[in-house]
Amino acid sequence: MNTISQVSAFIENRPGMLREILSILSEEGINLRALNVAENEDYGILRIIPDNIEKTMKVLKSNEYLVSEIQVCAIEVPDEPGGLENLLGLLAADGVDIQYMYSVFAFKEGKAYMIISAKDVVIMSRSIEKNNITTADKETLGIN
Amino acid sequence: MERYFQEEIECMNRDKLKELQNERFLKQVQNVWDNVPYYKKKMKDAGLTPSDIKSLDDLHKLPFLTKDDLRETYPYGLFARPIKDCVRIHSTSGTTGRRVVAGYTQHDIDLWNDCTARALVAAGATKDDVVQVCYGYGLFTGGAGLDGGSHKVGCLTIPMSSGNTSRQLQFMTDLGSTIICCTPSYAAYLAESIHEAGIRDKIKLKAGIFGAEAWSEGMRETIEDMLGIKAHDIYGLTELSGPGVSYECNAQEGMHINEDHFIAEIIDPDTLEPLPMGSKGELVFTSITKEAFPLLRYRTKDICILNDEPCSCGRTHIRMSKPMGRSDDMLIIKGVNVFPSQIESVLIEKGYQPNYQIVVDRVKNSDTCEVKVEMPSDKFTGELTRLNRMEKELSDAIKNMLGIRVKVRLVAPRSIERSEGKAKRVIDNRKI
Ligand SMILES: [Zn+2]
Repeated sequence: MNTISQVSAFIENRPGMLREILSILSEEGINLRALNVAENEDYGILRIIPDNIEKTMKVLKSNEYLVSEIQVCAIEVPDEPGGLENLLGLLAADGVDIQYMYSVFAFKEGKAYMIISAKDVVIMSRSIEKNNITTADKETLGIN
Repeated sequence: MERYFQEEIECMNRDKLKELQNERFLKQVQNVWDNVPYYKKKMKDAGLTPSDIKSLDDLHKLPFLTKDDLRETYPYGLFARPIKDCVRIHSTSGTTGRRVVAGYTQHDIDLWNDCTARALVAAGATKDDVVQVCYGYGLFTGGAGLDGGSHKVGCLTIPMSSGNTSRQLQFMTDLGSTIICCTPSYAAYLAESIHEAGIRDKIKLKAGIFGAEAWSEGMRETIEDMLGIKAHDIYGLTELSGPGVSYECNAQEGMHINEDHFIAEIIDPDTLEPLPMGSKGELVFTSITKEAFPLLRYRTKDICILNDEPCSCGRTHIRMSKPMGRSDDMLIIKGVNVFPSQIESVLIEKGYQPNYQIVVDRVKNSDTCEVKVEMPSDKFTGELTRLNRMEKELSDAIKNMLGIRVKVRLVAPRSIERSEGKAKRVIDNRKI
């Protein structure tokens, strides 16, 4: 199973906060391959897959953002009706407890990719290997 | 066996003690009336002359003094003796406004040294002890106070003053210090440094006297465990003399007030009415032996509880609890008295920095309270559910402490507005 780095940042739920962090990244020339925001009424967590992890962590830390880096997995989803449903069925059958998932911006050769994070990475990894599910590597997603 | 510095006073029969207080109190009222025009006017404004004060039972009739009075009369306005009779000045580092200066005659200093000597002996000090005083020396009363007491007991005194940790540790090991006097936070820092340097087995400390700042029972345990000592609390105010207004015996269940010098009252900070023994309220002191700077009914702003139950150590003087907060900071939320320091202690216990803000509001005639807490970067994992759990855990712990449920909200580091480097603790939006 290929894994890729995801950066999570704490953002307060105030107007302009998301825009502010995105403009800091774009000013540094950082491109995002995927983005997702999880929020409650007070604050949110921005999750991104940047093309340059080290630089992203450095830039956000120097701007005093709370950040953390974890490894997630990008699974290849056949670009056809029921493609994702089928995959999720395979994972569920193996007891994979998915915490969250979100899609990658770019398509490649008729494929779509979903970022997926499971409670237990080992169980997910086993299921992915067993079911021959393809996971994207850095190169496929255009990550340095 | 329990040892005392002045057994006949420390263990004095309560009736006799009351008689002594009464006599000293009446003399002090006359002294202030005769020598402090500022307070004489206060008494006159309240329709009082010394003849209206017939015994200690009339104490509650006298006007209060606050820090504002001390600032207004700066520098000599509350002195009851001319400069030729005074030998010393100490001063408090006020966070706002003018400093407060207090004067001492030689007699005042002698009595103050008795007070700290009592504290040292209660902590086990004898002539054979080596006392390392690492409170600051100078305008601050900490260094001079414990230094004087240590001399009175006849201990070998090391006047280290504060700071320079490596030198503190070198003297502590080379000279074999057995008792240390400093702030509890510095004691904790020294304990860590001792462990880091791996010199724990070279330390001969048996006791410590720690005061001049708030500390928790948890901190006491940590210091006692790390240094293998007994940690004693001590309380005092420059306005009254300095450390030694009250001190802890080996029972460690409250600090004995030196009642032959200071009369304690507890008042309701809102109505200013005296409260019965055992009530929680603001501590008020009347100094009955001070010559140069005698304060009658001085409001300390410290919130605490007095206890007149007999103590297992044999001392008869009443005890006061650790100050639980400042009356200036007291909030009443849903009818419950809340002190920011209580919330702060929960945060520290749960591993957070004390960077928080309490926002109180009133919605549909009901109080709401939200506590914003800056999230420490090492606790951020990027999971939303974990943040919700952290908030719930803090809210539960605060409910345990205060008895009311508050909403806890985690916020980004350094997002709470600061004034003079300190986070603004309370925002009360209620319009009452
Ligand atoms: Zn006692």
